[in-house]
Amino acid sequence: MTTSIDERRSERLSLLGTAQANESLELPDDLEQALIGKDDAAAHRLLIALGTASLMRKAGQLPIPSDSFPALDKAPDEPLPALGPLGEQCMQAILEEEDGELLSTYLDLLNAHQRRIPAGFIVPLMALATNNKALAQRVLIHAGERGAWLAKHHPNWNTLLKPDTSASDPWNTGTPAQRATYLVELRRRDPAAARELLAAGLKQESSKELPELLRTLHAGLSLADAPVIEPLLKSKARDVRASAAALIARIPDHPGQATLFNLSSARLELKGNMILGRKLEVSLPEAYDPSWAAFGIEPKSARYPTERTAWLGQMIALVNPQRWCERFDRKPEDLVPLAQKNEFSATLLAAFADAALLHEHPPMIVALLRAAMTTDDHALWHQVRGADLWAAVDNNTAESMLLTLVEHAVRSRENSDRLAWLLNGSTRAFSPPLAERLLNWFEHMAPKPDDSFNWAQAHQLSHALRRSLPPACSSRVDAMIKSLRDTTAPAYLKLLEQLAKRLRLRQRMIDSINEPSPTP
Amino acid sequence: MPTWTEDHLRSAVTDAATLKRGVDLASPSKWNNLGLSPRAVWGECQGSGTKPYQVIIDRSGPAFKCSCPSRTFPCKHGAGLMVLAVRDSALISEATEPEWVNTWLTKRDAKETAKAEPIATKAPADPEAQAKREAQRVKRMAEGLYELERWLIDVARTGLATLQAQPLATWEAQAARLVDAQLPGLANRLHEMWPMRGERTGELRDALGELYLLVIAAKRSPELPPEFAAEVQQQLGVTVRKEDVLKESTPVNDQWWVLGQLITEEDRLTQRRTWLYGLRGERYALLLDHAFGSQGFTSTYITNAVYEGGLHFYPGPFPLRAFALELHLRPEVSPVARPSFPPMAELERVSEWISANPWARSFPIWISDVVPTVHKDRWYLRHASGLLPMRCSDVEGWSLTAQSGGTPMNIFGEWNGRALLPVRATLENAAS
Repeated sequence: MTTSIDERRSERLSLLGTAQANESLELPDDLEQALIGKDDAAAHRLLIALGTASLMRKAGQLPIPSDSFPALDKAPDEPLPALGPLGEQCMQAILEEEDGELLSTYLDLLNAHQRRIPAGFIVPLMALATNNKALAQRVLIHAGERGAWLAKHHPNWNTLLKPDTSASDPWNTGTPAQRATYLVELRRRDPAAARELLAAGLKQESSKELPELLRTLHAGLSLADAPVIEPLLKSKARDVRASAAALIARIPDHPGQATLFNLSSARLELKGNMILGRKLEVSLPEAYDPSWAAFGIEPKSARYPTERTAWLGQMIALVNPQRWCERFDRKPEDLVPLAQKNEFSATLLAAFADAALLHEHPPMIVALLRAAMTTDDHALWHQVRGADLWAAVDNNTAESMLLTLVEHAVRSRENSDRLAWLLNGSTRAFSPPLAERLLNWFEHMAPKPDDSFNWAQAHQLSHALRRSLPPACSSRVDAMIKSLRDTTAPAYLKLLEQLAKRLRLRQRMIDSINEPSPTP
Repeated sequence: MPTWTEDHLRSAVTDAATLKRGVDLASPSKWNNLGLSPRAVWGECQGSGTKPYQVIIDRSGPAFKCSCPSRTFPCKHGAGLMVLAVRDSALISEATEPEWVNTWLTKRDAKETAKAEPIATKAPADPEAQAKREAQRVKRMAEGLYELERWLIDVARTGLATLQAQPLATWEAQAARLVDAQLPGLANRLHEMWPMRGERTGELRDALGELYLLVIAAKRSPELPPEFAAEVQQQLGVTVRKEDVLKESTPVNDQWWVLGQLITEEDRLTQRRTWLYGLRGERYALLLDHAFGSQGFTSTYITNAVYEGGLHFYPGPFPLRAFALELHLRPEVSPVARPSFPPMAELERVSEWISANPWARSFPIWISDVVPTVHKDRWYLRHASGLLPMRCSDVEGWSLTAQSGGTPMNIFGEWNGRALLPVRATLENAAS
């Protein structure tokens, strides 16, 4: 008499099927009773056995032995306080908006005020940062000890916070950025040793990495560096030659600079008189002189319109703009309009812009930017590398230029595309006066429902305002929405509502930083 | 101001799209006449029309009311008002209830009182026709059961290897026949088996065996004790009318603690499983609700809140599923009981439940002192006495791990005989 079910046999039978198997099952007698008179008794028997075994297994389930695999260690205690309920609300809002940029801003705040991400948000925030390794690293860092502990155990995160194995020998084993950082640091402490280290390895360095290493020479550049740099003017790699030429052009008292200035000043002169007016006169070189290679002047350059303008353009681009100002006794704001009027304006403006950026000459940078901003000539903006010039101006200058542009935009809608672009590309927080004028402009430009309208510009501007407007402006925006509600295109109102919502969230983010941490 | 939190918001507005639209609407410039009283929160939301929508949230639910024509419940305006109440509570201050708020609340109170009255069972319009329909239904079900039994016998004869090679269409056709035979519960079981092919053959074998036992039990239903017969009918998917439950049962009054909710969506049908625990009677209850498309659920239960009222349990040898006619939020009651036990004690309880009701498919268990942990891509709960497998995604598993940090937790969830599906997790030293 059978009292139990042979589970192994029923498993074998279930796989093969009772029609093909050469064995049979036995059931306890009380279960066999149910099969009397059934066709296919073997199949019924198997199904009863499977069902009964399943129920018995469920009813008799025991925990798996705890030594089947090692237990997790315990996460260390947290030295930093977690965000409170308001901070959790902000985190939730960031997750809802799937906005990595906003998260990054919040992490900056957390960093500045020594707060950490609550444990419950680590995994969702890591999901938000899936495609952004740097952001994911920051999330783990700002998740405190719990973040580091999770990273240690999570198979996809454990590389994100691994200690830097190149720390002991960054020059030989580090990434290009780590090697450059090491060189900068060494140069700060011991310039001669840094030069020696760089010179010793120059032949082995790849042409891709070399320009980045050469950039480390910018700080404290002196004649002592010239012997390291000059041989690189003969490099086969164009980028290396260009980097070397730019460095030599900046070495104070390097004899090549005087030669170069003499060479170029013979081809760029200020002519005319008070009555007829002054103008810049350009005489292009007739042929390429191979000796120019010693200054980093290439036979061909795509930055200039023609082969001959390229030779002159490259010469001017290496000369400090201050020399032209002194030679012609003109300020940059006088020279730039003269260059604009010249038949070779594209060459002169591009060369002045390159020189202004290379020699970090603020007056020329501002003069070129003003020229480029007060016209809708997109070609000019690109010729003078407007974006690079804009990035090089200081905050006060940028603010003052923006104010001028906003005033101009309120008066006439010219150049507002450029203004929206500048605002959008700026990471600076807007000052209250600028914020007020920008909001006035935004209100002023509100379209009526049927107006044709530059929506791309409005979106760009609203994006910039969402990011850089002081959060306290939210009530001003709410008032704008109420006053515009009946007269303005609904899509424009939506932009304003999104702006108000973002400003309120940014305010909550700030408020949450000083909120007490919940008791554990 | 109502002490609603983000969790409350998510419990009340379960549809993600509605919540997102609500978040977009939660701008002070969109709202006028915001106010709150001990009974309600209200406001007027400017929509696309000239007249603003009047929106009310009854705080005893929360229950929503909006004058907009949307059939989604709660609508985006209700969701927006609740988002404002949670995230910008300073904008809503105490005020006298306007007439329109008062009118609705009074009507709602009257309705709730009427709901609590016993439902008078209507006599069928045509008893003969109804008897005929019932006979047809029973016949269709018997045919469906017979056909399923033959299919199972065929599977046993030809073996699982053959079954697993069959295309999805074969399984779907079999499931569709069960739906036609008014046996949707059995059709669902077939749908659940399809993903078990391959690596989960053991589970598939168990599921086929248990399905067979259910079919045999269903065929012999008239011979079973009434509570077993009722349980088998529910497992087949036969709808038990609330009126019938009301006739047969008395309400179980208690303070019901909402432990958590599981929301799943399939073919635009959203199912919500709300687990409650009676603080006085110390028993579990499961409220099962469905919503189609973007329509929300007609009732709202806030996780971790306590509601007072009576539940009617569906019949069965170990009744868990229930429905409520009227539950009132009791914000002043904070649950302190934490009825969690070591895994072994809970598994012993499961064993008793299975003896009492072998048809039950999941059991509420609440285990103490466990640490979520992963090993070879599988999730477990580690206790000093052993490991329990967990049913969860990697994201859920890592979220629990992040909260635990290697320290023990109390976890409530649904145990299916093999693994635990977590519903609620709290740290050992947490308040609740």
